[in-house]
Amino acid sequence: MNLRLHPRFFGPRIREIIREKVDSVVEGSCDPTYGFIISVVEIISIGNGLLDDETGFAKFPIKYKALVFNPFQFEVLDAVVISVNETGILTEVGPLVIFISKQSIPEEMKYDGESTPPCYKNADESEKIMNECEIRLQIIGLHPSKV
Amino acid sequence: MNFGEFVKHEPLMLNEVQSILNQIKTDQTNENQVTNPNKEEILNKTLRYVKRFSRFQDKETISGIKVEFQELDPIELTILANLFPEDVDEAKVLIPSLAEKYSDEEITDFIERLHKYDN
Repeated sequence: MNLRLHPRFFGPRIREIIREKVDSVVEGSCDPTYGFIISVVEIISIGNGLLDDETGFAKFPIKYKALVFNPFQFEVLDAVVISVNETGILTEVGPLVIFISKQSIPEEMKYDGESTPPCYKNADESEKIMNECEIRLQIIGLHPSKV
Repeated sequence: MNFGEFVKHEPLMLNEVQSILNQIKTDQTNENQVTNPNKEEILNKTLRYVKRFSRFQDKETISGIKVEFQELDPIELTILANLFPEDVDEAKVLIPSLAEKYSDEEITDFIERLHKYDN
C-alpha cells in the first residue's frame, strides 16, 4: 500500500508512526482483492518517501504481511445463523455477513413465523434452522460494502 | 474451481488462525495498545468464529497433518481440514478440484487418514 504522511510527523519517530498509521488505516478494513484485513502481522519494508510538492505530504510505499479473510465464489463455509425471516436467512462467518434468500433454501424447509423463535423447518420438524444454528453453505455471490 | 487471488498466499486452518488471534490479543493487552473500533469488532468476531468451529486442539496435530499430507495442494488440505468431510462424495462436492485430480479410492484414503487426527 501507499501511505500518505503529513509533514508534522517527520522526525525521529517517523518509522514508528508509519507502523501505527498502517495499522490504523488497514486493520479492520475490507479490500476488494484481499478480503477482510484482520490484523497486520509484520511490516516487511517501508520504501523511501516521495514528497508531493503541492501538499507537502510524503508518500511511502509499504509492504506488509497481514492475516486476511478472503472468501471466494463457490467456497463452502460453516456459518452461524443470526436472523431468520420470510425472505431468507441471515448468517455470519466471522466478520462476513451472508444472506441466503428463500430461493436458495431447499424446498422442504418452510418459514414458520409463528413459532418461538421463528425458524425454517421441514414437514416432520426433524430439522429446524433458527438463530444460533450452525449451517454449512456455499457462497454464490460476493460484493464488498463499507464496514 | 477458481481460488482467485488467494492462491498466492498461505492458507491457514481454523486452529492456526485461533493461535494467531490469541497471540495478537495478548500482545494488545500487554502493550496497552489503542485500536480502532472497526478492528476490534472484526478481530473479536473472527476469534469467536474460529473458536466455535476449530476442530484440532493442538499445534502438534496441525504440524502432523501438514507433514503427512504434503502431496495435497495447501489450499485443498486446509479446506479438507476445516470442513472435514465424512466421505468421498461429500469431499468431492466440497472440493471439486479433488475429484479432478484424484480417484475415489485416493480421496477415501485421505479422509480416513485425516479422521485419525480427530480426537
